[in-house]
Amino acid sequence: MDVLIRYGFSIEEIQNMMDTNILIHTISDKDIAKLLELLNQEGCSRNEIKNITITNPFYFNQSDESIIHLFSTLRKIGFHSLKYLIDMNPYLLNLKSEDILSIYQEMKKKGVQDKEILDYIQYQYLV
Amino acid sequence: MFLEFMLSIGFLEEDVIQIMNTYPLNQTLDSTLLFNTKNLYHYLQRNSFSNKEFISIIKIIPQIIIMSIENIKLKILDLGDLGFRKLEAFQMIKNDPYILEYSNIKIKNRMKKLFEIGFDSISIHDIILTDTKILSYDINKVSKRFLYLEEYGYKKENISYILATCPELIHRTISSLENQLRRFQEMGFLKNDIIHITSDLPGVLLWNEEMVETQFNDFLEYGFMEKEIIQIIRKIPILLKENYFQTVLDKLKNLEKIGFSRIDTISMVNQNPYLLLYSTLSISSKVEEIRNISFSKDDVLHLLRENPLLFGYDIHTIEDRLSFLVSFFSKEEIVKRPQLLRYNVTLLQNRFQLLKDYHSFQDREDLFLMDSSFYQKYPNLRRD
Repeated sequence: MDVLIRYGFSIEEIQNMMDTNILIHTISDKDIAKLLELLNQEGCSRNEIKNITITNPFYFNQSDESIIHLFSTLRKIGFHSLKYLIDMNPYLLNLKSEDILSIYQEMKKKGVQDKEILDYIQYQYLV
Repeated sequence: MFLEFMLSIGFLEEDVIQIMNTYPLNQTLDSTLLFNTKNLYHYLQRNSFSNKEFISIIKIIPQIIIMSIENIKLKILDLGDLGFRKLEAFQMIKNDPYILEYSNIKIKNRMKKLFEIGFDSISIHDIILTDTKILSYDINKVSKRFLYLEEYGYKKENISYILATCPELIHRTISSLENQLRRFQEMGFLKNDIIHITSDLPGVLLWNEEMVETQFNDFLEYGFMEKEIIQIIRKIPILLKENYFQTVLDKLKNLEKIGFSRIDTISMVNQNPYLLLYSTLSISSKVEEIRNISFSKDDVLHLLRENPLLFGYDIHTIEDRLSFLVSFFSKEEIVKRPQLLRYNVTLLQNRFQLLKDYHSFQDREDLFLMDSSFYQKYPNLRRD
């Protein structure tokens, strides 16, 4: 948890995250740092990263590969900037790339346009 | 003398007699037996063996009494070469004392076979540590179960984790595994859900029908519909953990105590199942924190009811968003439109700036348009 303290999370915030996600204590600082860095690379500010991970501490259960894959799929379907998307719904980070593709393909089959699909993913509360 | 010592540490007389009649102990002098046993007893005690564990080992493998402590230490070192720490090696001895008789080659070969079946090295280590007797099981039994789960749709790494966490599954028949998985499908879970849930919570595969139904019934009694329960459990398999519902019930009651009706509580959980994982303290604190930003209690309840994502938000984020929104909306309007608090402040600020720079900013609602609508109305604006 040192990496979270160095990042600026308070002890209370970390404790709340650990109470919500009991698996956090099993995750190494190295893995936590990688996941924080992935959000940083998407342009998320420190405060945005804090909000994202405080709201969704289960983000830390994901592997960096699955998050990279998720981000790549989101880009593939048309998102340019992911930081607003993630900040508006941090739980999106718990979805797998296949989940996004499945939503996209289902909506395409129904004739929904790409722009509307992106709006749906961004503005609907997908959990 | 040997008998007295053994009785003094808790052996039954008939057990000691049986031990003394075992070859080659029956060829060993009483004084030697006593000396060796005392040494062994004290050595294992120093390494955290209880009397009960010591008795169990000797009953299973009495010959250990004439094994020198040095040989046992060498075995611990040998297991160290295979990646097992000293404490782990002692745990393995407790699990299966016969490991003291296995050569490293035998153990290595078994580890190699498990690797060939599809286990990863971490799971191999874990499964031997948890169920040391796997070193002597019929390997085909292990292989068949692994293959069955693979054919069902599990990935190898999940199967490794499942069998390492719940080695008892290796002793279940394939048809009992089939029945368990079918039971979940009959409840309404899709195959992918079952794989996801049981990969997170392998113990569920050991549950009997009654245990599964009990968990479901607890939710049904509260007022959730079956379809809703499936959705919730899909997201949070840990809710199926035995007796976890009592914890969940406390949280649901806490929400009612704060002022939400049961129907509202169910609705909020359906919108945000993760709400069931926040502590009662953090939920109560969030309500107070939002109240402290000058909302009335009714307003706070309304905001959270309509936008349960707010339960998880950092209060500073809510404050920042509110500070921006009050430039355009009154607090009453914000309360009526809780979804406004979802918007990222930078996004709104960028849009506001763009509209100010390129168009005369007229309609505050433009800030909150979905992307496609925003860029349809202002096609010349650069994307954020």
